[in-house]
Amino acid sequence: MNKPKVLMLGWEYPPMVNGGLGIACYGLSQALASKTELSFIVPKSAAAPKNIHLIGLNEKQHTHHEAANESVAYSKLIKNYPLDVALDPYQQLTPEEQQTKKIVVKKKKSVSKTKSATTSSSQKTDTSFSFDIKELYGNDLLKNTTLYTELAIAEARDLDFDVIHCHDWMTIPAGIELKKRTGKPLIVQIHSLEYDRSGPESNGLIFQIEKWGMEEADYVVPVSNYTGRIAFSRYGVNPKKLFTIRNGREDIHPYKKEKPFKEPLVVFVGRMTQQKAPLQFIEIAQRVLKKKPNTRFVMAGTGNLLPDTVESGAHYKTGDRIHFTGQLNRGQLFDLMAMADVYCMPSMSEPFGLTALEAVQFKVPCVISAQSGMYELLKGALFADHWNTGAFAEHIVALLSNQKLRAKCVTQATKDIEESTWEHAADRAMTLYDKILH
Amino acid sequence: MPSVCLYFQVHQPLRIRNFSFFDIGQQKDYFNNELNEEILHKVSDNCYLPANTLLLSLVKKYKGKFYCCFSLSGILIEQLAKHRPDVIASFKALADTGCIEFLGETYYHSLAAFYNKEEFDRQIKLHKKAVKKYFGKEPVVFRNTELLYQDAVSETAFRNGYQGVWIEGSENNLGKANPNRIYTNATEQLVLIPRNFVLSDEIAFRFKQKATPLTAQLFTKKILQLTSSQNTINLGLDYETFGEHFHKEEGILSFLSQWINNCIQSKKITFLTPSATIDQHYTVKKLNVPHITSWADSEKDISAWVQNDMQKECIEKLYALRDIILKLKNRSLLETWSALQCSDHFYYMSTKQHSDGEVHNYFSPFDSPHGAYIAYINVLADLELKIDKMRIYHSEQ
Repeated sequence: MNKPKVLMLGWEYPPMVNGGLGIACYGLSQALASKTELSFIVPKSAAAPKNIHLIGLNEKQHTHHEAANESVAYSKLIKNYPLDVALDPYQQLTPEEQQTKKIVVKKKKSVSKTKSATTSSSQKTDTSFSFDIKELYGNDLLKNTTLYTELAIAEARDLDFDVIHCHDWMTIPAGIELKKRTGKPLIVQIHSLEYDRSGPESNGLIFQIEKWGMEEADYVVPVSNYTGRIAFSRYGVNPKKLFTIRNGREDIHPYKKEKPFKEPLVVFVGRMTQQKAPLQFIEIAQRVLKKKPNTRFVMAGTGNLLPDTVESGAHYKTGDRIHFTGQLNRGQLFDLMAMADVYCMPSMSEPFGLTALEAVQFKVPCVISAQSGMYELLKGALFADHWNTGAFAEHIVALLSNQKLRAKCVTQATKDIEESTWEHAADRAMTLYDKILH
Repeated sequence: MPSVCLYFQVHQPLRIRNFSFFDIGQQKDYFNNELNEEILHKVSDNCYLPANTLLLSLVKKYKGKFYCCFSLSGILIEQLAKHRPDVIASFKALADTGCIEFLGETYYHSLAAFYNKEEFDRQIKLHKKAVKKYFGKEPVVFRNTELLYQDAVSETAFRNGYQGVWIEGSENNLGKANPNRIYTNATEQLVLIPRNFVLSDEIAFRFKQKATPLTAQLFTKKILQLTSSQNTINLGLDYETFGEHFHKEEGILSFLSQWINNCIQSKKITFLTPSATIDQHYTVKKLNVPHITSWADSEKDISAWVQNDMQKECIEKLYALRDIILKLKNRSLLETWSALQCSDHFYYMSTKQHSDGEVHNYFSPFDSPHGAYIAYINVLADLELKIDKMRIYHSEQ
């Protein structure tokens, strides 16, 4: 059998990684490298992996820029919404990334090659688009999405592919447009949804793009059955189109590190945004401290809720018990995991929960939101509904007081993630490609 | 003849490092020594030395006609003694002229007055000793940190032998009373000297910031508008205004020397030290100040330092450690804990917005009030660990 030719459309790729999306795209594409002929278009690439054809739009001199907006439905969609929406779907970049110099995509000559002859005058102007990576997730996210769509379509013209596989909403307009132009099947993989990030009342432009993408897709690939259920119940996706591919784990070499204090340590790792429920964690911490006053907590991550979360900890006069580290690099994160006694993830809605896999590898018992992809994967973790801070606290106290329970959880969880490999995820993807192409 | 009483607040805190969770228990220094030294050298060269030279020349030129006073925090004196003995010497030279007075204050520029009376008393004594040691003068007028005041402050000051206390000349101290007079405290034991904040801020905030810049002529004119012989214009300014907040190139030093020249040459106004002001003027009435007042921000109360939950938590936890710190009798531990009392640490944690917020940010070495809080509370967590270890050691002994 010939290797399937896959065109992936993504937003993050190492070293430009903010969260699970970049890590997952990397893990999956690397595992697929030998099994497929893979081209992967991202806004920005810094390193060039040898085994896949990674195309960073920042590197390209785009001489044939498509007038995508004339034939595509997304322009209509975007026109109906104000463009200056402040968006923060993931979070700000790390300072090092912000310091990276601005990358400018030159659009030298905009010669329209679309079927439509009614080219607008603006296309003849010599403009340069900037893909300032600081703005990749900034206020201009929608503008960047539009830009990505236009440039990706232009880029794909020279590529040969059997199937389009896009990741999350920013790449959906490009995926749909390419499907319409080439007739190739479209796979929309969902790493996180607006529903996860903004809650049940989400109904804005991003929600609409996601819904539209999942409707147009031949297959929708959620990273967990939990996310599949949301796609079905909130977005009305035909369940027959759902095909779950769980994330794999990054193989790390776990170690233990001695804490500089004797108190047990409960760890929260995540963006300080509504989705990750940092304020809930403060409440959980208060409940734990009532029962076990000699406990410490660390909250790693940053985001728009950081100030409120810090102030809430101070409000309870527990600032010397709940430590904030800000954004951590991998080494620091591992050090933290190596010291942790319990890992707690109280997210309001967590499609998968990659960090929990790291905690498990570090033999840290986990207390996790039942509204997460982990619920169906980890038998060896304790779960509570995300609103039930009392139950979270009870689980944490139980793990801190009961050695047998700890050991049981760790052993079981280790077993649970044995099959969570990118190899396994790639096999699932191959099954799907096979299903679509034959 | 009306008079001018001029005081300069001279202070630099020991700023703390960006102390992270990973630093806890690692025996790391709390203070950002590099930054503190760098700033100390900068203000010494830009302000303290040139401004001292200028004032010394004025004192010499107008022998017996120009007086002013300084309020140096103990923590600054300590830093200068260690890194800039030349600056100490230049203050000493001013002190030796007999025309310069030194005010008493808390050694650590702290908020102890409102959190622990005994600590407040300890720091007043400590400061008095330092002033005597380095400048050979015994302060007789007191100025609490950032003009923070409440009736109880003057009681402690009085017990420590002070004759007067500076307060902010604001409505929350004076009501409708005239800021250009002096008053007695609630118990009528000592004199209260209100700072004329309108004229003081004219220099501190509005020099160079208006469409029509503040000139020496204009400022002299404003001062000479007061003609009653009982009037005293009490000006209080950060010393760093002269050369650091405004640079020499902006003309701040020549402005200072010119309006002083103008005033003296007009022969319509005299300069007095605070103690001479107390001697030569009559008090109008007594002031009751039940609530805390200060010279800071638009509220002119303690809210610049203690307002939000972060500030409250830190300051309460800090003072809660006092008993055990004293019990452990470890000098370096006591000094560290004391330096953490510096009001500046809490000032950086203020979440006030707008123009007051801008002033807070101007002084803060941290990116955000939350960053300042996180570093400080981590330091406290580390200090608590240290104390625990010492406590165990002591009990084993």
